[in-house]
Amino acid sequence: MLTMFIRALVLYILVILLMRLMGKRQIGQLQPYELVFTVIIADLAATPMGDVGVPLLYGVMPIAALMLCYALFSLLTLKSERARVLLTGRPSILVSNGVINQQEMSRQGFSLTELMEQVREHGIENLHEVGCAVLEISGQVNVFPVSQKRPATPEDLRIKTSYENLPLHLVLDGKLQKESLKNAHLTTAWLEQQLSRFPCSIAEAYYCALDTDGVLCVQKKQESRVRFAHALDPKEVCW
Amino acid sequence: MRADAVLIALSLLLLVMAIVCVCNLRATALDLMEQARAAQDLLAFDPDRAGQEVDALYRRWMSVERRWQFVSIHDDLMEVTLAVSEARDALDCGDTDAAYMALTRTVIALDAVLHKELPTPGNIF
Repeated sequence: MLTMFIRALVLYILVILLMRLMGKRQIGQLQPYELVFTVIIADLAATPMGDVGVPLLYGVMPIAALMLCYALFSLLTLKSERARVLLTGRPSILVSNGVINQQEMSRQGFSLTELMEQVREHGIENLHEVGCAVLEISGQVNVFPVSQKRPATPEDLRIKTSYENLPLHLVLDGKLQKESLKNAHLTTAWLEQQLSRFPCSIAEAYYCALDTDGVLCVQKKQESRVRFAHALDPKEVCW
Repeated sequence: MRADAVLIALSLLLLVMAIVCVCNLRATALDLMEQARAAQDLLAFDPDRAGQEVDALYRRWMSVERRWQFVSIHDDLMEVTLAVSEARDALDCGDTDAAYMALTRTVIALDAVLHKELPTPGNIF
C-alpha cells in the first residue's frame, strides 16, 4: 500500500511538471496534438500507479515518447507554417460583413443555431451586424461587429487619454511585495513614509496598491474602508 | 522554445536510458540462459559440478533480479526465481530429472522476459 502511495506521488509530480512545461493554456485552448497528449498522459500514469507488479518505468517511458512528440510538434508549429496548418489547422471565417459563408459552415460542421448562439453571446442580436465571425483553431468563435455597431473608443471621440497599466500591488496581507516596489523604482522607506499619512505601517496594511495615475490605495487590516492618497507624479510612473 | 528543448532533452535522456537498460538486459539474459544450459549439460556427467553451477546461477540471478525489477514485469521475474529455486532444491535432493526440467523452465522464463522487452516487430504491432 505504501508503494502505491509513493508511486502515485511520483507520477502525479511528473504529470504536473509536464503540464507546467506545456504552458498556461487551458483545455479549451489546446491544439489537437496538445489535447491528445493531455488525454493520454493521465491514462498512462494511472496504469503503473495502481499495479505494483508493473515497474514505474512502464508508465514513464510512454510518457517520455509522448513528451518527445509533443515538444517536436510544438517546435515544428513554431518554425514551419506548413507544419502548423497540418497539425493545428487554420481559422475559418464563418461570417464576413454580415454574409454567412455557407460552404465553410458545412465544411466545419457548424450549424446556424450554433452560430447564432455564439453571435448572441457576443452581445449581437442581428446577424447582419456581424462584421466578421472567425472559428478559431481552438474551437472558439470570435465575433466582431460591423464598425458602425461597435462601441465608440476614445480614439473615435478624439479624446486624449493618459497612460494606463495595471496597478502595482505593494502590500498584500501585511507582506511587502519587493518585486513590485523594485519595478516601480521605489524604496521601502518611500512606502513607509506614504503609509504613515494614513497612518499605517506595512504590517498593518491589508492591501496597498499604486496605480498609473500615482494614486495609492490602502485598506488596513480589520478595517472596512479603502483610503486613497496621491503619492506619485504620473510622470514618474515607470511600469 | 526553452520548455520544448527541456522536454526533448528529458525524453531523449529517458530514451537513451531505456536503450542502455534493454541492451544490458539482453546481454545478461543471454548469459544467464547460457549458464543454465551449461548446468543442464553437466547434469548427465557431473551432478556435483552441475550443482555448483546452479548455485552460482541462483546467486547471480538474485542480484540480477533486484535490478530488473525496475524494468521488467515482476510476475515474469518471479517465474524465473521459482524455476531456479526449484532446480537448486531438486539437486539438493539428488533428483537430476527434476533439476533438468526446472533448468529448462528457467531458460524459457528468461526467454519470455527478454522477448517482452525487445522492440521486435511482433512486440510493437
